[in-house]
Formats: sequence, structure tokens, C-alpha cells
Amino acid sequence: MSDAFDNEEMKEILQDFLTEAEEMLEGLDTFFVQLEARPDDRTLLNEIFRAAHSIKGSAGFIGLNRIVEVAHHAENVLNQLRQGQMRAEPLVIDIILEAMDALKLLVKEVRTGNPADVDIESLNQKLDLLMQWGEDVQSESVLEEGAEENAEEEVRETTPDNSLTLETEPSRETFQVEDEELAPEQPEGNSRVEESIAVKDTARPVKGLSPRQETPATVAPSEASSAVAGEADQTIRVETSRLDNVMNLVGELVLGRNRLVRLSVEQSGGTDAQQDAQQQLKEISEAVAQLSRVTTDLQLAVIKTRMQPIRKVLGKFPRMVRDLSRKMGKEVRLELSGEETELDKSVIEEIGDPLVHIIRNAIDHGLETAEERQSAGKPTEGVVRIGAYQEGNSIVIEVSDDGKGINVERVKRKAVERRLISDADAERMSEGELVNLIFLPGFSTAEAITDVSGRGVGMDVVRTNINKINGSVEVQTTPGAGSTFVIRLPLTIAIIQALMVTIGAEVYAIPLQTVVETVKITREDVRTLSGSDVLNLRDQVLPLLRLRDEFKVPETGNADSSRCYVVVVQLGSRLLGLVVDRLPYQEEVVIKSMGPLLSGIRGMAGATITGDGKVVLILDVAEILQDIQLRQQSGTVQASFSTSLNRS
Amino acid sequence: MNMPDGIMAESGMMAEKSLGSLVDFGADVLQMVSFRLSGEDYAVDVMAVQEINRLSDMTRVPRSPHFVDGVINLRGKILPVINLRKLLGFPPLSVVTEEMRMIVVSAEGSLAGLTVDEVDQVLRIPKSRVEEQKDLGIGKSLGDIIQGVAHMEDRLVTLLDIGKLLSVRIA
Repeated sequence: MSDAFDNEEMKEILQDFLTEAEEMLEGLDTFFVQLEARPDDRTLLNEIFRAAHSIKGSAGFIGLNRIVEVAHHAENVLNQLRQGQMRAEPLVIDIILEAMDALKLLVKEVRTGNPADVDIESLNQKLDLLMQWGEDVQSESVLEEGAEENAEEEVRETTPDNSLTLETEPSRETFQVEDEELAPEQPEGNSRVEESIAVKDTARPVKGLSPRQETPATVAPSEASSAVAGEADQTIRVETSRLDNVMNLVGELVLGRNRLVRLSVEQSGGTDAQQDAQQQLKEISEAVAQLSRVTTDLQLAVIKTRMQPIRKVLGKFPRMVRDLSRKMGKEVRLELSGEETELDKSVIEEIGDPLVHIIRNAIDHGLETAEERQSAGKPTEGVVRIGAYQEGNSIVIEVSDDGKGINVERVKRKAVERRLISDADAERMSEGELVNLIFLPGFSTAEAITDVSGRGVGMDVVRTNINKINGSVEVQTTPGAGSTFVIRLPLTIAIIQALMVTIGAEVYAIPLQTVVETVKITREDVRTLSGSDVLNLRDQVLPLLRLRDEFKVPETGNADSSRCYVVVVQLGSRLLGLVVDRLPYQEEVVIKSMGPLLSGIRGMAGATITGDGKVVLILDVAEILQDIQLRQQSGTVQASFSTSLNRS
Repeated sequence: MNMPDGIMAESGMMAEKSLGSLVDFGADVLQMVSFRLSGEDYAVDVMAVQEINRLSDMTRVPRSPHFVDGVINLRGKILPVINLRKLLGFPPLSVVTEEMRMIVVSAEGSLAGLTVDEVDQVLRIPKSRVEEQKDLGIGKSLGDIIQGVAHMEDRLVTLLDIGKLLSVRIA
């Protein structure tokens, strides 16, 4: 298909169409779910019709016949809905949503070039049948109009699908739009506002920005969007790659600042010579302070340009919840709040899958059937709530259900059964700790495998994915009253606070978010417990991992091994002590990829460049902990490095 | 590092925009950067070469493939340094000589440095002299990344496929 679009201009038009169509189709999903609840909402119906019509129009213009065909048949049905000849019953919506899914696949087909497996014929038949049914039901008075519609359809069906006819399509579409007296706003304008990377209000509540930056970034309103008031004027579409570029530059600036800061600290500590030199140094450090402040502000401002409302993700869920609830025969109401909460684009992209998983779980395992709920004295309709809000430097997303809650006893039993924890652990752990065991790899309580969840991919995938973007997830549950999943995400994943550690001559960075505390120990503090090194920390046994052995750091010879530091890191309820030589300093680091060749290495999240231009590797604490756990499960106790210690 | 940024940016542009103009000595001639490894001659496509640097300090990466010496900071980008001797199964050199260089190559957006014993020259190789040999049965991993062998007057030059070379993964 892509062969047809050789020239650049056409490619651009096609790209625009694809982006727009994808956005609209996503929006339509939500509209249809709303429509089901309010079948008589005329504004909503008009909105839907306009969007569908617009997709058909643009697809026709470009010559994407398969999309036009499906959109056309769907539009006929929509028209009936709009004119009140048919009611938006769940069955009707089911078929329309099926058509929307087909359209999504077809749009994807154009984007990727891989033929999609869509049976247009049978789908169109279904839609036609639906329309026929609608016509049978409708009264005599509107029959005339329906016939007109039919006649028009016939004309179209008989026109051969070649490019000549397609050229005439657009004008005809616009004529129709006017004829049907649609509302003046352009649907494109609307969705563009919703989905564009928000460059709006760059300086709204960014703390520390000077007031003169408060002028909102205005863009001359285009003809089409002039009717759309307010927000549209303050947003522009920016290519992500451009923003990435700005972000990279800011990253460089941050690194440059760090270097200057280090230099000035070293200088002011070292000299006590002349007054002049002192004065100069003072000025330098002032300049550095100024640069530092500006960089921090700029960094925040740039981060803000990459922010998108979480609505982009949450918007998919009404449709999903509807489908699930129908499939499982449970009454479910979805409540969304805080949809305007903003997150970094890269975080937005990554958070979708984990959320889908949690919601599926909540509906499948969390919520009871209507009968069960009734006998428990609850309203038959179950509620799933998704709320997002900002808390300090992180964004919190809560997903809660008012179902039966998680059976902590069962979790405990299962965890012991699968040898994820020992009997002793099980007795010692609090309920809150126990319930969070569901995030461990190899844990799945689903006794019956259903189509919806429990296909072997457990909550550990959820945690892994969230950890990947430096977030954390935990669950709270109340028997009989439901469970709440709390996800904490960083505002951005590109820049993090890190604790620098040295092992021999090598330096590594540990994301500060995972660090609980650091402890200075001597060799005598390390005990062995069934072959593994542990530390007795405030009457709690802390397993230790010697990074020197783990990373096979070459011996430097002059290492003073009698004293070292333990960095206590945490993931969920698990603690681990990483043994290192020194903790020189903390630094804000910019995470950089090491490229495809090295990105698969376990335990490394990436690398960064420090103030002195050196490359420092950043540890992936989640992966390290997981690997340790897997090692323990498979029974291979790392006895090698504890024996050397005992001998000495 | 021994090339100013301006030149770099320029050559980078050319690689993207006008791929034809440099290579097009007639489609029958290949332009390759040749270098030595353990006394043998090798070459890579000139268009894949971004720059040639002296060796610089690098950071060792634990658990990396044996042929990766580490990562370096190339003006803000982090790239892996592949020791071609190790990759191709030659014994690694224990000392760094004055002639050793790192050839920075790129393919499909990924960058890497290749350490070689010595960089020779840019060769123009008529396609007719190239034997499309993919399976010479020499070296362990050589077969995968070899593009062909060029028969020059006095020597054999093994042509390496940068795309394949950069897509080598940890087995």
C-alpha cells in the first residue's frame, strides 16, 4: 500500500491522517460507552457522527478504500441512531464497537504496512443487517429519508474503486456536512487539543520560575480552530524528536553545571592564599549558583513540555471496562478522577499495560458477581476507581475496587507453598507485607484460568514494568471491602537522583529512590547464615551482596577491606544490602542508554556522564533483587564469597 | 576527538541526506576504510564510518559480552567499544600501541567504536574484484559479519558488514 505514496507531501498527509484517525477512534470508544449510558444525548450523537464522518472523509481523500468502506457502513448505522430511528442498546453498541476495532486495525495496517486480518465483508454485512433492522423498526414518516440514504449507498457501491472517483470524494463529503447542518466546530480541532503534547502554560505552576516567563505560549489560531475557544490557542504540536533534542541539551547543561559545582567546591576548599583569589573564587561560586538555579528552572520547564495529561491513558479504560463487564456478566461502574494530572510522555507510554493488568485483575478477581454482592449486602454494581494526583516529586495513581479484597491467608499459603518465603518469614510478616507478595515472580493465585486474567502473566510483570520507569507499586486490601493498588511514578524518568558508590577503582550509581539507608560496617559485622553473607541490622537479618564479586571488579591491591559501606536498597518488602567500598557523593544524573548491544545486561539500567566526563553505570536495583531471588529459589547459594571471608 | 565538531556534523549530514554523491563513482566501485588486525587487512564501508579516534579511557561494563571492552563518552553519547580482535578470535593485545585507533561506526541508528591495530587508508574497490563470500569457514564469528573478500593486487582485504556487526547480540 505504501508504494502509492511516493512523494514527501503525500507521506506527510498520510502521517497526519493516521495520527488523527488513531486519536479519533480512541475518543470514539469512550463516546460510545457514554452513549450506552445516555442513549438520547443528541450532542454526543452528533459528536460521534462528526468524528466518524471525518475519518471517512479523510480516508477517502487519501484513497484508503477499505477504511472508507467500513466507515461508510458504520456511518449509516450512526445516522440512524442520530435521527432517532434506532436506540443505542448494548447489542447495537457491540457491533459498532466491533466496527471501530476493525477501523483501528485497518489504520494500523496502513501505518505498519502489514496486512491486517479483518473480515470487512462480514462486518459490513452485520452493519447492514443492523441498519435493515433499524429501518424495519422505524415508522412510516421517516421512511423517505431512509430510502434516500439507501439510494445513495447504491450509487456508491456501484462506483468502481479507482482513483478517479476518489478525487471527487472530498467535495462531496463537504457538501454533505453542510447539508446536514452539523455544528460549526471542526472535530479535528477538538481532538487535536486533547491529544497534543501540552506545551500549554509552560510556566503555570512551575515553582521557581520568574514571573516574566508567565506569558503563555500563544499560537495564532488557525482558521479551523478559531471557533474552538481558549485552550486550543495555547497548544501546538511539536515533534517528539525535537523535544527529545531539547531534553538532551538540557541534560548536557545539567552535567556541565555539576562539573562547575564540583570545581568550585574543590577550589574553595583548597586555597587560603590571597584575598584577591578568595574574592574571585567567591564570584565564581556566585556565578555557579546562578547557573545552577537557571539550569534547574530550565530543566523543570523542559520537563513540563514533555508532560501529557494521564487522560491519554485513562481514556481507553471506559471501553475496556465496559467490554469486560459485559463479557463476565458483572455490573461494573468505572470512576475516573485526576485525569488532568500530568506525566512525562515516556511514563505515559509505559504505564498503560500495567494499569490494564491491574484493572483486569480487579474486575476478574476483585469484584464479585451481582448475586454475591447482593448477599453480602452491597449494591449489585461494583465500582472500580482510578485516581491520579501529584505528591511532591512523584505522581500517584490509585486503582481501587469495592470487591471482596485479597485473601491474605491464601496469599501466605501460596507463597509458602511455592517457596517464595519460608514458614518463619510467613509468621513474622505483617498482613500488609504478606499481601504484597503477589508481586513476586512465580506467584499467581488464580485457581481457574480465565480469558481475562490469570494466563500465567502475574502481578510480577506489573511490578517489573513499573520499576522499569523507576516507579513502585504496592497493594492494600480490606477483606470484604476491596483492594487498592497504589502506583508511584517519578515526574520524569530521564533525570534521577543517584548515590555514587565506588568498588575498587570503579564507580557506579545507585538510584536514590531505591536506597533506604547506608551503613558503615567493619568486616567483623558480617555474619554468614547458611552460606550467605548477612548483616545483623537492628535485630533484623539483612542479606548482603558484594558488588565486587557480583561485577567481578578487578582487584586494585591497595584496597582497605576492613571497612566498607552497606547500601540498603528496597523493592517492595524485600531488602538487600549492597556492599561497596566508598560513598563519595550524591548527584543528579541523566540516564542514557548504552545502545542495543548492551541494553540487555541484567542489573544495569543504563549509564550517565559525570561532572568530570567519565561514564558511570547506573544499577538496576529491581533486576539485581530479582536475580538474587531467582538464585535463592533455584537453591544455588552463593557460598563462594562468604568462605573467603571466614578464612581471614 | 581529533576531528573538530564542525566537520563531524557535516559528514553526518551527508550520510543522511546525500548518500549517493560520495559513493557514486559509478555503482561499481566500493569505498572502504581499510585497517589492520593481527597482520591481516580488513575494511568497512566508508559511509558507515563516523569518525576515527585515538583510544580513550573507557568504563568497563560487568556482564557484557567478552568482545566489548567497555563504554566511552563521545561528546555526550555513550557508546560501546568492540574489540575487533576479540570478536574475530584473535589474541587481544596486552599493550596499547601508538597506531591503535577506534573507528566509530553507525548502522541503523546504533553507534559503536571498533578498536583496530592500525587504520590504513580509504580503498576504492571495483565490485568486480569482490568475491561474495559469506561462508569461508574461518574464524568463529567471522562468517556472520563478513560481506566478501576483495582481491587487490598484493593482498586480500576482508570486507565487514557493519549492519551485521552491530547487531551481534549476547548469545
